[in-house]
Amino acid sequence: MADRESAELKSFVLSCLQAIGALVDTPSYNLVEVVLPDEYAAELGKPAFLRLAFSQEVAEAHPDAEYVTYGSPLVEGLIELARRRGLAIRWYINDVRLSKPGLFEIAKKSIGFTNARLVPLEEAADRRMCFYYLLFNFKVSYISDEKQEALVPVLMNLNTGQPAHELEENWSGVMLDAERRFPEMADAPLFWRGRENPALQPLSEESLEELYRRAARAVERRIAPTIASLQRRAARHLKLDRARINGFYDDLRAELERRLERARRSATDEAAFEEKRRRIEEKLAAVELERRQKLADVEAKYRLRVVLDLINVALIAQPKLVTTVGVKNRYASTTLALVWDPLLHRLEPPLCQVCKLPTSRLHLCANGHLACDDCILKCSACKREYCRLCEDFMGACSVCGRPLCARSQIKCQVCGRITCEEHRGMCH
Amino acid sequence: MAVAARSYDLVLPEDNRRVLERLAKGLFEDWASFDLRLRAERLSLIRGFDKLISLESISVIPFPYQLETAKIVLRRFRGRGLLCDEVGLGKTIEAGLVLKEYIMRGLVRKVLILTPPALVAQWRDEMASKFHLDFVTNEDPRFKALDTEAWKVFDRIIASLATARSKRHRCVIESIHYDMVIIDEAHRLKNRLTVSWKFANALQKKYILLLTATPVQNTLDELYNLITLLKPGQLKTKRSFKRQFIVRGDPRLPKNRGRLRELLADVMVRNTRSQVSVRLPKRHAHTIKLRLLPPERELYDAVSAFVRAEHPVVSQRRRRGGLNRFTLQVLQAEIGSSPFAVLPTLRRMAENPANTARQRRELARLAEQAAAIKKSAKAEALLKLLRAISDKVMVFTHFRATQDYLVRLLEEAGYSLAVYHGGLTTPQKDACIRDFERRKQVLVCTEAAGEGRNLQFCNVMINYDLPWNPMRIEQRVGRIHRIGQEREVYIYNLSAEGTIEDHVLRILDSKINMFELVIGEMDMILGNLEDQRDFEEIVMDIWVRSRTKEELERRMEELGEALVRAKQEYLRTKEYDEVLFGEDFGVGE
Repeated sequence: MADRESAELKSFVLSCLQAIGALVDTPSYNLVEVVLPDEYAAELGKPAFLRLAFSQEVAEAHPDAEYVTYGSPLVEGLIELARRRGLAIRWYINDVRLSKPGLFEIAKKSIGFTNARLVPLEEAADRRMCFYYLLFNFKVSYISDEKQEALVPVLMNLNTGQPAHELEENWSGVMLDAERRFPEMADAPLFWRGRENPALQPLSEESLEELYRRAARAVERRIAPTIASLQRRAARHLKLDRARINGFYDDLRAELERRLERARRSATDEAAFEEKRRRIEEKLAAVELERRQKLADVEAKYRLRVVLDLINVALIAQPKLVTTVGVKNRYASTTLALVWDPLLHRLEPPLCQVCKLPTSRLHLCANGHLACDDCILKCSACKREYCRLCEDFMGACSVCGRPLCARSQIKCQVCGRITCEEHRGMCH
Repeated sequence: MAVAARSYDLVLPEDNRRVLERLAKGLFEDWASFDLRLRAERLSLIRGFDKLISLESISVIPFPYQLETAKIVLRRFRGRGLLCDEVGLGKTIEAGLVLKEYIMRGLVRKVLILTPPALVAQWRDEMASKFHLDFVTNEDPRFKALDTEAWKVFDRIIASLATARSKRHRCVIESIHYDMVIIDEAHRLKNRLTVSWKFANALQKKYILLLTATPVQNTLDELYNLITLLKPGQLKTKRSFKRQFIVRGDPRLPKNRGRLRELLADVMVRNTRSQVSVRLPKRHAHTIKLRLLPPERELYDAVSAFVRAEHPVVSQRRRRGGLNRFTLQVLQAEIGSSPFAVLPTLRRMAENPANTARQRRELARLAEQAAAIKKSAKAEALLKLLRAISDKVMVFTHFRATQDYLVRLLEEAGYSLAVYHGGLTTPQKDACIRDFERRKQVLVCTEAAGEGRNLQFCNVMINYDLPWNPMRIEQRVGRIHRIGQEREVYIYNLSAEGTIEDHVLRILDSKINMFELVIGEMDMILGNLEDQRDFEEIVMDIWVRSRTKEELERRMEELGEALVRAKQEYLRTKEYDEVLFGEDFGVGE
C-alpha cells in the first residue's frame, strides 16, 4: 500500500471508530487500541477490545493485533456502517455582506437588452432573501468489459435550476457552517419553475425530482469526455472482434460454398448430390447461427453502461440581495428581479422566461416577456419581437416564408392564405 | 431525458430516491457522517486494471509473474486467454486472481469452472481458502437436490466437464449466459469433433480462461482448436491455418513462426521455470521398510481377508450385506495406517444393525484382535527415525485415531509436540503453527495441515501412513517443498512390507520416481492413464481381485507399467511444447 493510501485508510478507520463512539488510544506508531461500544462490536463481529495494526511490520511485531488493510473485514464493516449514514446534510454560508449600493448601474452594465432599456423603479427596494444550492455527490460507474468508478460532485442552484459552475470553481474558498447565523428572511422563489407558482416549496418532492434529473444531466455533460474515450476504446476492440469473427465465418462460408460448387461440378448421381447439398446447407445455416451468437456475445461485452449512484446530498443556504428593475420599450414594459450574489460579487444572469436558461442578453417581447436570443422571433414587417410563448401571434408569409406578427399579416380574400405586404395577392 | 440519443445505457438506480426522500423530509445529519460516507465511497472506488483491487482480499501472495499474467489477461486479452504456464507455476492462482478481480469490480457474477472430476474438490478448496470465493460443486448434496435446475440457481459452480457436457445438463447450461467460464486441463478440448469442444464452444460467455500446461500434445491442430474456442478467427479457418502455419506432411511442425507467435501472443501466456526463477531446493525421499509385528500382521491379513470377501466386485453376498465399497476402502486404508485407526471403525461396524449377524460377529472378533495390540513396528521405526533427526519434523497421518496414538507415544518419549487437525478452529490452527515454528520440534498432523500456510521453516516430513492417491502424497510434499523453502527437503516414508501402501509406494517411487517430480506433474501423468477411474479405486480393485500374492504383484506391475507409459507421454508432450513455444510467451519478471 502506498503511504498516501495507507494514511487515508488509517484516517478513515479512526474517524469511523470515533464516530460510533469507540474509545481509541495509540500506544505506539501504527498500533491502535480500541474499545468498541457493545452494539457496534456485535455488528462488526469483533470483540469489544481490539488492537489494530496499520502496517505489516507492526502486525508482525504484535501478533495479537488485527492488521487493518483494504478489504479486511473490519474495514469492510466500517465502510458498510459509513454507507448507512450521512445521506443528507444542511450547511449555511453565513459571512456575506448583504448590502450593495448601485445595483441598478451594475445591472445596466451586465445585462444587454437589444430592444429595450432598464429603468429604475421608484418604489423598489433591495430585498434580502434566502437562496439555496444542492450539492449532489454521485458515484459514477463505467461498465463495459471492464469497470471504473469515480466520484463526481455537482452543485445545483436550487433557485435557478441550473448547475452553479461559478460557485463550484470557487468552492475551496467557501466557508460552510452547520449553524445558521443570518437573520430570518423569506425563501427566494424557484425562478425556473415559473412565476405562476412562486409559493413552491424549495424542497418539494416535485422540485427535488426535477433538480435530481438536471443534476444527472449535468454529470453526464461533465463525464462526456470520459464516456467518449471509453466508447472509442470499446469501439476499437469491438471493431477488431467483429472483423475477426466476420472474417472467420465468411471464410468458413466460402469454404463450404466452394465444396458445394465442386460437388455440383463433379456430380454424376442426382440423389447423392442432393444429399450432399442438403448437408452443406445445414452447415451453412449452423455457421450463420454461430456467427450471430458470437457477434451478440462481443456486442454485449463492449456495450457501455453508466450507473449514477447518488451517494449523498448537501443543502446549502445563502442569503442574497434581490433588486427589481423595470424594462421597457415602445411596445411593452415589465419588471425584472435581479439577484446579487454577495459571495461571488456578481449579479446573477437572469433566466430567459421561455427556456429558463440563464442569459446575459435579453429581449423584451411585445407582450411583455423577457426572452433570450434563441427564444425570440422578429416580425419581418414591423420589426416587433415576440417570444416563443407568444407563437400564436406569429405566422409566416406563404410566399417568402418570412415571420410575420399578427399585426403585419395580410390575409388573402381569395384563398385565405397569409402573406406579407410585398407578396400580397401572390399566394394563389 | 433523451435516452434514445445515447449510445450507452444510463442507469439511475431506484435506491437514489432514498437520499431524496430524506432531503424532502428534512432529515439532516451531521457533518462527520456526511464526510465519512464520502470517504467510504472514495476508499472503495474501482479504478483501471493498472492496480488490482483484489490483492488485499485474498489469502495468497502471488508471485510477480502471476500478477503480471493476471494484468495481461485483464488488460490485453480482455478476459479471454489461454494460460499455459509450465506445471507447478500456479495457473490456478492466475485464474483465481483474474476471477476475483472481475468479481470485486462487479463485472462477473455467474461463473462456471469446468475441471476433470478429480480436481473439482481441489478447485473448490483453493477458491475458498485462497480467494474467499465460495463455489458449489456438482457433487454437493444441495446441488444434486435441485438436479438440472441447480445450474440456474447457483451463481458460482465448479463441475466436472464430463458431467456438464452430458446431454441432460448440457441443454440447460447452454441456455445460460455466463459472465466467466474457466476450463482447467483444457487440452481435453483439443479435438473440435468431440462433444467437449462443441459444448465449450456453445457456452454463452463474456470472459473465458483455458488452463493447460500442454496446449499441444500431438499436432498443431490442437492449438488451433483451443484458440478458436477463445477467439474464433484469431487463426482464421482450419484450412487457412494449415496452409499458413503447418509444414505440409508433418502436422507437428510449424512454419511462419514469427507470424504465428504474434497471433498467439494476443491470447496466450506461458511462463516457464527458467524465466520466472522459481527454483526449489533438492528433494530427498527415503523409504523405511519394516515388518509388521506378528499380531499386527495377523490383524492386517484378517482385515484384508474380510475386505476381500465382502467387497462388491468379488463378493457373492453383495446384495444382502450392508457394506459398500467406500466403507471397505476406508477399513483397508485404516489398517494400513495403524491398528489404532481401524479399531473404532471395526467397533462401530460391529454394532451397526444394518450389517448381517455374521458380519457383526466377524467384525467384533477383528475389533477384539485390534484392541489387544499395544505395540507397533511402525511406531518403533518412527521413534528410531526421530532420534536421528535434530531438526523440526512434520509427521503426517491420514487418520485422527492414529494421530491420537502418535501424540501419546511421542509425548511419552519426551518430544515437544504441536498437534494439527481439521477439527481445530482457525485461531487454534494459527496458534498451533506458530507454536510449532517457535517452540515445538514435532508437528503431528493430518492432511488438513498447512493448506495455504507457510511451513517452509520445516524441511523434514515423515509419512507415517501413505495415501493411495498420489495427488494426496504430492499435496503433503507441497506443504514444505514450495517457494520460500531454502533448505533441501527430506521425506521419509514408513512402509510395512506386504501392505497396499508398500505396493503403491513401490510403483510410484521406483517406476515413475514420483518424489522427484515437480508438484503438478503427477496430475498430468494420471491424466494420461488409460484407466480414468480414481487411482485409489484402481488400487483397491487390484487388491480385492487378486487371489494370490503373485497375481497381486503382476497386476501392480501392470499398473506400474501403465504409469510409466503415461509419464512418457507426458514427457514427450512437455518436450514438444518446449520446442514449440520456448520462452516466447512468458511475462517476464
